[in-house]
Amino acid sequence: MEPRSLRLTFRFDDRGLRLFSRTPRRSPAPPSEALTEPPPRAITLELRSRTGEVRYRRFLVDPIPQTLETVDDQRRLGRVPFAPLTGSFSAVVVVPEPGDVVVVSAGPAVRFAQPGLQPAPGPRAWRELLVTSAERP
Amino acid sequence: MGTSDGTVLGTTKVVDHGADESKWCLLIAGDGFTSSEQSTFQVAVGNFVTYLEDHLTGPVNWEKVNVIRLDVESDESGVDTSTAAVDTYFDASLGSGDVERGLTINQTTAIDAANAQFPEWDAMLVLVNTTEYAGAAVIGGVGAASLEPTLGNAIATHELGHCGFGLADEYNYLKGCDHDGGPYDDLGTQDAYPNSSGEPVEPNVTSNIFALKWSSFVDPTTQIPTTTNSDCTQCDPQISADGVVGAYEGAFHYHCHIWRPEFSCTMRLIELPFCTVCEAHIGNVLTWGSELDITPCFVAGAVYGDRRHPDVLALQRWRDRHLAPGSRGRPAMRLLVAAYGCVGPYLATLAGRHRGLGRLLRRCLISPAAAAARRANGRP
Repeated sequence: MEPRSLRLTFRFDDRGLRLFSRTPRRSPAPPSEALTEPPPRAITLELRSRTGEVRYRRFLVDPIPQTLETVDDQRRLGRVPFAPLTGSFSAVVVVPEPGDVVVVSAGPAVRFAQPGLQPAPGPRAWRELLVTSAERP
Repeated sequence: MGTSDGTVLGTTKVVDHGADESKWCLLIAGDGFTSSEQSTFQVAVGNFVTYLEDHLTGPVNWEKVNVIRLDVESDESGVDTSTAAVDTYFDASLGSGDVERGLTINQTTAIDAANAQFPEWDAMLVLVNTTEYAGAAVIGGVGAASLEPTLGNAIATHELGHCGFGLADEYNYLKGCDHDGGPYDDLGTQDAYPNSSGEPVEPNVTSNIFALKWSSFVDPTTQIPTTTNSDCTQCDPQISADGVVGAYEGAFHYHCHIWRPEFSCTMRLIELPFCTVCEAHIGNVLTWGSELDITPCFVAGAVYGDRRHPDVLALQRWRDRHLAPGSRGRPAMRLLVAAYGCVGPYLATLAGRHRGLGRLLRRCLISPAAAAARRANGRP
């Protein structure tokens, strides 16, 4: 049976972000987010065609942790700073077309405490954390 | 410590509503359970599933969920603490982030195990073998919670709201809320959500009350904003009634300039149910891969202008319950759905063109039908 979606698993460390694995799935992928300009604090995972056209987009919610959620003595939820230097996250996408690339981008309002994910010096803008082939190498 | 400190035994489907590729699949693993404690883990999963089924109400269709247990045997029992290291497969640790109740797991190991053992997983939770009054974590899309008897299931449900459904926290940050000092203050000043951050992508918080993303759920008589925080250095002391969808200031770890849809929700106070907007979003996520979602509610969607309106979702849920394999009346419902598939688009076009007809259908047909569907679905 042909896969209907792929789960992409990413890893990050002091050298940055990389696509670690592509796991075929029989389940369909979620629908794409709107392909308009995303908000500044978004982290996006996109499939782009050879010509750079965005074909599919997902918003990644907290993929690279900056905080840890805890419960206090009064049963209240709260967040404390916590930014592991290495880790993984994953997301499901549609099956890519030949030649598609995977792009993970962070908006200008996104801050990472991890040294390997710091933006290049200069004006803050959308930055691509990873651009890689969607097909198996 | 890690994968050398245990063994993956395999998976067992504990809630089976049909083929995995057409369901939303929740994978639940355990950490810190030795071979002799596997039955403890199995009971914990059963308890959580019962809690979750009770907790997912409204438009959320439990028949669209499969739950798979991932049995993992750790070499030692329990969890790492500041005073003791324990050899467990997912390397769960209590006391992370310099917080006594900060709970973490190795998310790389968790995701690798999930991909290898059950590639169809949509969300993953790791239940950690400690009954400490412990916190929780969502790291890299995998949630974790302890087995604390009174709050463990509630915390796990909140974490599922993050890792399974992409929901935002709806609570303020704790500084200025009788909780000054300590690690909670280290997030810095978060009195007001910054304009430069733009609209959050999460469905249950907004920085723009003039274009509320949940406007279709708001009664026209409800004041927007519904509450306003007069002192942005403090938690808003106002208390409002639950169950009214509006715009309540204070959410997403900020005191001001950001709003949540209801006064209370699991994403704000863990012991309470999900709010209407979160329920609708969860119901929507569950339909992504559902084989049952063969025919949308054309007419109701056109009349309300929103296919995620609670009335639309109530009707869909009622339909899907009767379409589920083994349900009573399934053949009749299939016939009805097939007939509706023919005439529905035509009626929807008419209702969309003639607003008077749309209002009439809403008042006289669809609203009463949705109310009846809710009663039949088990929720008024």
